[in-house]
Amino acid sequence: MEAILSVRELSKRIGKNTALSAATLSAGEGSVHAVLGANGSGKTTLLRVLAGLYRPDEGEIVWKGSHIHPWDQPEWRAEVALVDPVISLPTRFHLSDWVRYTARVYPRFDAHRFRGLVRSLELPTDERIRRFSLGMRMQAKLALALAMRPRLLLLDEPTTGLDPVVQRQIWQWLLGEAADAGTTVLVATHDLGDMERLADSATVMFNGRSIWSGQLEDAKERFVKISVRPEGKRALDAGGCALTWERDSGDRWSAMVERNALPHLMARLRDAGAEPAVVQERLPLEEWFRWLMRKEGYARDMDGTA
Amino acid sequence: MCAPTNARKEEVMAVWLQVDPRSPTPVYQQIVDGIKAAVAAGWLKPGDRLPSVRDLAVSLAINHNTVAKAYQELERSRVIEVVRGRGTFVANPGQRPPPDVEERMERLRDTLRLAWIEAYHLSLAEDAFEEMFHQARDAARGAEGKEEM
Repeated sequence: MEAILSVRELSKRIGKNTALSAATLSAGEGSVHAVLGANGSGKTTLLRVLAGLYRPDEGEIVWKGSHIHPWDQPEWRAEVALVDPVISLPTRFHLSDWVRYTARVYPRFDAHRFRGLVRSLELPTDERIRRFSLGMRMQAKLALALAMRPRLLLLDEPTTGLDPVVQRQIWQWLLGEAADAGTTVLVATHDLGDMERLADSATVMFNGRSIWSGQLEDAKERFVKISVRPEGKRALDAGGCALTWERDSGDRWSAMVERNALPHLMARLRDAGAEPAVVQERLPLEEWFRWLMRKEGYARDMDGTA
Repeated sequence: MCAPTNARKEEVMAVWLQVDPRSPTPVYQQIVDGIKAAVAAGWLKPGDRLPSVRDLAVSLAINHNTVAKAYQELERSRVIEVVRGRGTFVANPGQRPPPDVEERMERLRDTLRLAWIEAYHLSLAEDAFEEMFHQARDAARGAEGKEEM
């Protein structure tokens, strides 16, 4: 898939914090790209830079082959929509008034579509947004964003506060949008289970950096988990294989390795007279993600062994 | 199947075509296997129209590229055919043999040989094994499900 969006080496300091540090990613047209990462890893900042809310200190953004500067290109506003749980709707407005305002600002705003979405979400348009629950506000933001018919849809934790029924409905709309209009969707989320079914590709962020980026199917193909007895772990450690181990139940240790490193590791085990490793393929995304985090030194376990 | 007859095909399909993204089997492969099984069981008949990539993706709440990949694979192995401008249909079996027919025959022979070896080591009598073979056939043909339809 050819990339419609490429972000290269994007950096941004906010106050004393380095929110983004050479973040890099690319997403294909009409794809759903997951931006994954621990809390505070820079996901929100990245989305806000793309939406034009922040000006980055360094780096470049390429959209459809051209360099863009979302922060000082008003015309970019017509291409992009950001749904963010923190940025609030004007609470004194009725939803219907706010829609009229939005329709003037966004040239592609589709009022007919908005009415359809609001109807199927059963949102009241004649009440002040102040009276909306957290979930209703999120739904209103999503309906507004979809009605803007953006080319790039940026979603920051879009299912926050939504029940599973509405969550599924929202995802189905987003999938339909990506399939019909070729809208490219970037989703910053912690929900790996959802992303496993919805996303084509992903970027994993840690401390403002992107530590992995690619097709999710490749991640599943390329990494396998090995499980060995303690003597196997000793043999591999002594052989200079820098693996990030995790203690399994019983006396086994496991580590994630690249598939093409397997023959080498197996040979090492054989030479050391250790039992061969048990290999597990195509791990759930969650396990793969946890391992990536652990490799970066990020773990919150009961026993604290990292 | 107790789906109402006027239900749209993709809604009916979403009932029996379940995918588990956490399974070690890739999601596109689960769709390929699911549709092949449905054709073998007679739930889908030659000439039946399949939902579009987009509609099946939305109804299963999975990525449309995943469904597109499954459809490509099914088309390549002649389970379905895409008629430009009209849609995707279940193909007539045997009309055009799949391109890798020899290779798949060989794999099928291997599978059967392995089953015989396993039967031997389970001390399974030959007629008991044949009985099992026929039960598996009936299950694949959806014999029980068919009477309800």
